Amino acid sequence: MADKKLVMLVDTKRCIACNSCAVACKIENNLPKNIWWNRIMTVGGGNLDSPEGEYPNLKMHNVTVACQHCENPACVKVCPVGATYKDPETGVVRQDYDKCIGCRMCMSACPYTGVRSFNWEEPKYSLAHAVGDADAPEHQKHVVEKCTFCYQRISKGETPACMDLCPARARHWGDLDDPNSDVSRAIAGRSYEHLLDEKGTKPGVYYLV
Amino acid sequence: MTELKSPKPGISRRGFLKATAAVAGASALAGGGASLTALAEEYASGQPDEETIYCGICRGNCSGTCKLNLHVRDNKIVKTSKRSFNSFPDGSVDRICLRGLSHVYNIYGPNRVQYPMKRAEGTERGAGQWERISWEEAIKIITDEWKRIQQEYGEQAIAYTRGSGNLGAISGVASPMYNVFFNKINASMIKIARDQANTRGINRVVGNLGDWVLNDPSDFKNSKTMFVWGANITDAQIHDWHHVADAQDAGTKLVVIDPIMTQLAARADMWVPVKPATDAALALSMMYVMVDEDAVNKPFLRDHTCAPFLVRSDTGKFLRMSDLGVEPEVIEVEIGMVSAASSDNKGAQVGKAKTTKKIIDHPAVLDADGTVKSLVEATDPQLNGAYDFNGVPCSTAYDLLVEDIMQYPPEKAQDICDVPAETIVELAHLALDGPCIHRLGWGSNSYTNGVHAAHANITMAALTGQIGYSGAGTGVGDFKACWGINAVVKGMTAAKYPMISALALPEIMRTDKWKGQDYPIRSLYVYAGNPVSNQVNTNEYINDVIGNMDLYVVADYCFTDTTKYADIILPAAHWFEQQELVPISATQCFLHSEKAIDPLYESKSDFEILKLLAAGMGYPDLIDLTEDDYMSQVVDTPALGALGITYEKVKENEDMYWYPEKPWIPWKNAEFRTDSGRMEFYVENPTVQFDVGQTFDEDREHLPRYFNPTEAYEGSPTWDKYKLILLSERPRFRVHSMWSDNAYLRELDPEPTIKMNPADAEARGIADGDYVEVYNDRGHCVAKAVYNNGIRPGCMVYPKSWQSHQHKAGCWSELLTSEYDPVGVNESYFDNLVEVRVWNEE
Repeated sequence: MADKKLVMLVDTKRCIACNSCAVACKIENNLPKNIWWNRIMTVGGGNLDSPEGEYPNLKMHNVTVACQHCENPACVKVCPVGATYKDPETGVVRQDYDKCIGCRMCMSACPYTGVRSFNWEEPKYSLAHAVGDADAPEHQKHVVEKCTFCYQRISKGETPACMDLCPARARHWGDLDDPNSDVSRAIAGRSYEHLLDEKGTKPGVYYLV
Repeated sequence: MTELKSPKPGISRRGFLKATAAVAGASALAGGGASLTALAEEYASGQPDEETIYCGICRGNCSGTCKLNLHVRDNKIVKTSKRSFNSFPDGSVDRICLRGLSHVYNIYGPNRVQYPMKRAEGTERGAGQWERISWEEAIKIITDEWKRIQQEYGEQAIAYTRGSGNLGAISGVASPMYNVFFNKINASMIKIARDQANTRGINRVVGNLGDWVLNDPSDFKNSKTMFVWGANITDAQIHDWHHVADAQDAGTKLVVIDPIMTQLAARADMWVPVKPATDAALALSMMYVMVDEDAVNKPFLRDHTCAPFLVRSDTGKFLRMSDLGVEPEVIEVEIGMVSAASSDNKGAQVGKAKTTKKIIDHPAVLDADGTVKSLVEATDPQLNGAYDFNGVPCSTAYDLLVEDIMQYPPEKAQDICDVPAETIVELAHLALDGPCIHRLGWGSNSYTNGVHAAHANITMAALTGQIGYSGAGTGVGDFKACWGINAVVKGMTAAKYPMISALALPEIMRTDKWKGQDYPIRSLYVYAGNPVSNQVNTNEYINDVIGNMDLYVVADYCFTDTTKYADIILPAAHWFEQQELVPISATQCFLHSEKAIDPLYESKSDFEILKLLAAGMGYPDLIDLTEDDYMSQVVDTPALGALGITYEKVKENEDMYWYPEKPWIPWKNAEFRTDSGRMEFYVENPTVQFDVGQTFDEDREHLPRYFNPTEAYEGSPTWDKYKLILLSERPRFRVHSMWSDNAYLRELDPEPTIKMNPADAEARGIADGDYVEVYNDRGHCVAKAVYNNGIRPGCMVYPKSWQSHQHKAGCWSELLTSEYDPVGVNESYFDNLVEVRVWNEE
C-alpha cells in the first residue's frame, strides 16, 4: 500500500468543459503538438457540448478524462520492463521514459482510451522554446506518456497544474487518507462515480455527481 | 510586484532529467521510481535556474481581467499562471482560463506583426502582398498622407476607431492618450456601436452609474432565485460561473432563460427555452401575473418609482407643478463622476464645470384625498387615477404601464415566446418571492428590439421593489468600469468634431455627408480592434468604408482580418511587453500590469506609436511625460484619494478595489440617478444612445413595449427566402477574435463550425460533419455542420470570430445586418435570417 492515497475529485455539477485544466496541463508539461494528457468530454449527444434528448428535454454534463491513477492499474501488470509503475509513496501511476521500450502494451491494457499517447516521431512543438515548468520531463520519441499528476510539481509540494486553478472550482486534489485534506472535505456527503467501475481498476479519479 | 523565484530550490531542467533517470534506474531493481523524498533531495543540490515572475493583467473584453503570473526564463515568457488578488485575500476572485493560460503562443506565435509594413505597390487591398518598411518610413507615409488629406478634404477627414482588444488606460480602450493626439489634429472619432441596447433600456429608467452595473457576483448567493436572461456565462464570462455555482450550493435557485441549451442552462434548476427576440414579451407577461394577482410592491412603487406621476395625454410629459402655476426652483448641483469604460471622447471634459444648474419642477400626483399636489407635498400619492387638467386627460404613469402590461396575459405571451402560460406564471411567482437577481446578457441586446427587453426587465424590478439590496438587483454586470478617474491629462484639448457612431460610417463614406452636411472622411486609424471580423455586415464595411478610404492604417500585434485590408500595418506590442493600468474590470479593481519582456521584433506599445504619430504631425512635445506620469494623472484624483487609492498604491498592491464598500451593490437605499431620484419606468423624455441625425417614435419609447425585431422572426420581410435565425456564441476558445490563431486552442477547436438541430439539418439533406454554406443577401460563410440537440429548431448557432482564412469561404460577420434601432444605435448581431446548404467546393 502507498503511504498516501493521492486522488482527484471532479465535481460534474460544476465542470462546464471550459478546458482550462486541459490547457494548464498542456502548457505546464510542454506537451508536443496534438498531445493532450487531459481531455474534456461531454456526456450527452455525439458532439462536444451537445446534450442528449430532444429539444427541449435535454441534459448534459462533462467529465475530464486523464490517467485515472488506479489503485489496481491494468497498465502496470502488462508492462514488460517495469516502465509503468505505481509510486509506492504517493500511489501515482508513473511512466519512466528511459525504461519504456515503446511496446504500447500499457495502452492496450488501459481501459481508459486516449489517456496515454505514444510519440511515433520526434515530438514537435507549436513554439520554438520550451514552455511550462522548467522541471517537466522532456518528451522523447517512441515513448508512451500520460498524466503524471504533475509529479515534478507535487514533489515540490505544489498541486498538479490542472488544479491551479479550476475556474469553476470543480477540481479537488489531495490525500484521501488524510481526513483534513481538500478531497476528504469535498467528498463528504457527496455521491461519486468512477469511470468504468466494472473493470476493477479502482480509479483514483472520483467524479462527484 | 516582480519577484525572483527559483522554481525548485536549484536544479536545471537537464539536471532534473539526469537525476530522474539515475534514481529511476537505481530503484528499478527494487521495482520503484524516484521517490518524492529522493527528488526533493536532488533539487537541493543543483544550481538555481532562475525564473522571474511578473504581475500581468489579462485584458481582453471578456472583462475578467485576471491577474496572471508571467513566468520569464532566459528573457522569454514560458508560461502564465494564476496570481492571487490582494483585494480578496480569501481567493474568491482568483481566476484564470484556457485563454489566460495560453498567452505564450499569442506572444511568440508566427502570426505576430513583426515590423511596419505597407501594401505592396500595385496590389489590391486584401491581396496580402506586403513590403517591409522602417518605422520612420511608416510614420512619414501616414503623416504625409494625413496632411494631404486634411488640406484637401478638411481636418475631419482623418478618423480613428478601436475595438475592445485592450482594456488599458494608456495603450488601451480606456486611454485618454488617443484623444490627446487625435483631438490635437482635430480628427473624427468613430465610436463602436455595441452592447448599447441593454444600457439604454436600463439606464433610462434608473440613471447612470456606469454602463453595465449589477450586484457584485459574490452577492448572487444571497438571492433566493437568480434569473439569467440570455447570458452564456459558462463560455463568455467563465470567471463568473463559480459565483453562480456557489450560489446554487448556498440554495439559490438558478433559472436560465435562453433559446439555447448552454452549459449554464444544463446546470440550471429551471431552463426556459424562449423564442429569440421575445424577452420583452416574457417580462411583460410576468408583470401581467404580478398585477393580475395584485402582488406588486405598492409601497415601493409609490415611494421609489414614477408610478404616481400624472402623465399628460396631449404631450406624453409628466404633469408638473409649473403647469399648475408653481414657479420652478433653480439649484446648483455637482456633476456626477464619469466611468472609464465610456468611449466618449475624453476631451469632452476639458474645461467642464464641476457643477450644473438643475431646474426643480416637481411632478404632480393625486393625493389620497383626490386633490392634485406636488410630489413632495402629497402624503399618499396614488398609483391609480385620472385627472382632468384644463381639458387634458392625465393618467398615472402606473396606469399607463398597466395598460401596456395587460396586453400580455400568459395565454397570449405563450404564443409569442413559445413558453407555456403556466411556466410564465411560475416565473412570475419566483420573481415575486425575492430577493432575486436578474442578470441580463447580450442575447436580447442583439436584436433591434433589445432596448425594450432591458427596459421591461428593469421595470419588473420597479414592480417587485427588488433592487438595491443584498440578493436583489437587475442589470448586466459582467463588465464594470471604474469611476472617479481623470481623463483630462496633460495635453488634452476638447474635440472639435462630434463622435460618429460606427453604424453611421458606411453612409458617410458612401455620400461624404453627415447629418446633411459635407463630411468627407478619407483615412481611418484602427487600434485594439478587428472591425472586419467583429463588426456587422462585413461586405458593406470592406466595400463602402475601407473601399472609400485613401489610407487605412491598422496597429495590431497580430495579423487579423482587418490588417489584411490595411495600407499600412504598425506592429503593436503585446500586453506583457509594456506596463499598463487597467481601470475596467469585472473584479472592480484598478490593476497594474508589469512589463515582463521588451517588445518583440520591432513592435512598440500604442503609447509609443502615438508619440511618433504626434511628432510626424508636427507635435513632438505633445506627449512628453512618462507612462507612469500619465497613469498617475489618470488615477490621482481627489475622489479616489479619499478612498486611499493612488497610482503608486495601485502599482504597489497590484490591485485595489475601487468602491468604498464590498460587495458593491448598485442603487442602495433605492437612490436612483434619474431626474426625480426614482425609477422612471415611464420615460418622460426618451433620448437616443447616439445622435446620428435619426428620428424615432417617442410614444413607443415612453414605456417598455414588445414588438418584432427587424429580421429575425417568422414572417419578416425576408422570411420567404430565409427561414433560420442565425445566433452566435462567444466561445471559450476566443475572446472575440483574439486567440483565433492560438495553436494550442486550435488543437481543441480546430475549425469553424455551425451548430444545427438535426431536424433542421436533415430537412436540408445535411449530415453531421458536412461542410455547409450559410447565406443570405448580405454574404455567405462556409463551416462544418455539427449536430446539436441543444440548438432550438429554426435557429443555428455559430461560435464567432474565426478569421476569414480559417473558413473555406466567407466569414460569419458577412451575414450580419447593419440595420439598427434608432434609439439603441446598436449592432444587432442576432437579428438575421439565413439559409444553409451543403457545400461541395474545396
